Amino acid sequence: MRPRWPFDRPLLAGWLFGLASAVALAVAVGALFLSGIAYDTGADRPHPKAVAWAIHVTMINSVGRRAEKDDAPPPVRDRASLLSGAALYERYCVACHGGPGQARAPWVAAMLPTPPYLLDARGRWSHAELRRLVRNGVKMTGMPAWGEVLSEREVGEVVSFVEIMPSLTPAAYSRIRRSVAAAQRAAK
Amino acid sequence: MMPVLRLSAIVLIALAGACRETRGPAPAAADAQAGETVITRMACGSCHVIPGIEEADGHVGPSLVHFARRRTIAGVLVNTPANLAAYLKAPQAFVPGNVMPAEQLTDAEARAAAAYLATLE
Repeated sequence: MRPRWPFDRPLLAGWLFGLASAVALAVAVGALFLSGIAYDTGADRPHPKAVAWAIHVTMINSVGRRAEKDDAPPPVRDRASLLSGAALYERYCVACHGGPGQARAPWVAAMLPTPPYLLDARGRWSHAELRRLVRNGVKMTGMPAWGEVLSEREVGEVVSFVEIMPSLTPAAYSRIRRSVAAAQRAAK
Repeated sequence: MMPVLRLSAIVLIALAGACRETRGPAPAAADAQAGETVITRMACGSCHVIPGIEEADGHVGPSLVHFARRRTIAGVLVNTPANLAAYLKAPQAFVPGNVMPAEQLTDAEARAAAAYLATLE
């Protein structure tokens, strides 16, 4: 008696068996994650290093690739725009990202991944990339898509302020904060 | 009877000591491990290169590679774990105008971060 399909073709039978095992394994692994057994979403411990690395590399490449297509306007460097950027930074950014000599809000260290200080942001990202990070935010990090709240012009101003921030001494930065706060009080 | 009791007490104390030593990593190593998390949480890597810390590739402050071999902290303190813990809690108290901010560290967190940096031979 001849074996029935697919056992009359050993290669095909093996391939089908392999495919079925791979699908079964994927479903089992998926179930482990979806059921919460295999992954702790708590923020009290950092990602395992390999996971942190993979997510970070994905973010860097995702931001870089999309920023290239954004056709972002050049940085603004005039005084009025930078002061406007400083006011936006004071209102929306300083609590999580700190500044020259200025610590973040105490609860921010409880966030993992934790928001970085930005004095080296210009070394890590291009202007277009920083605009994209601010405008579009970053999933699963707590970074909002500020483009939903701010105009593109304001995004440009706050990014430009971040770019000049490393040239401010803590004393100069404090002076800017005070004058910005005074202006915000006066506007109320 | 008394000598036997005393002997068994000594043996028990010795055993307890042995147990404490074998349970978990040594205190310094445990501190260093806790320090790794503290350093991650405090975002030290935004401004410093720190071996073994994910994404710690900043160039605002000095690189902390070979920190254990460093003679001084910020050029103003002798590099000891106790001095480092004090410095981390108040960098601007030691270096006026310091751009390095004072993250709110408990004594234990400051000690742990110092213990980690002391492993960077």
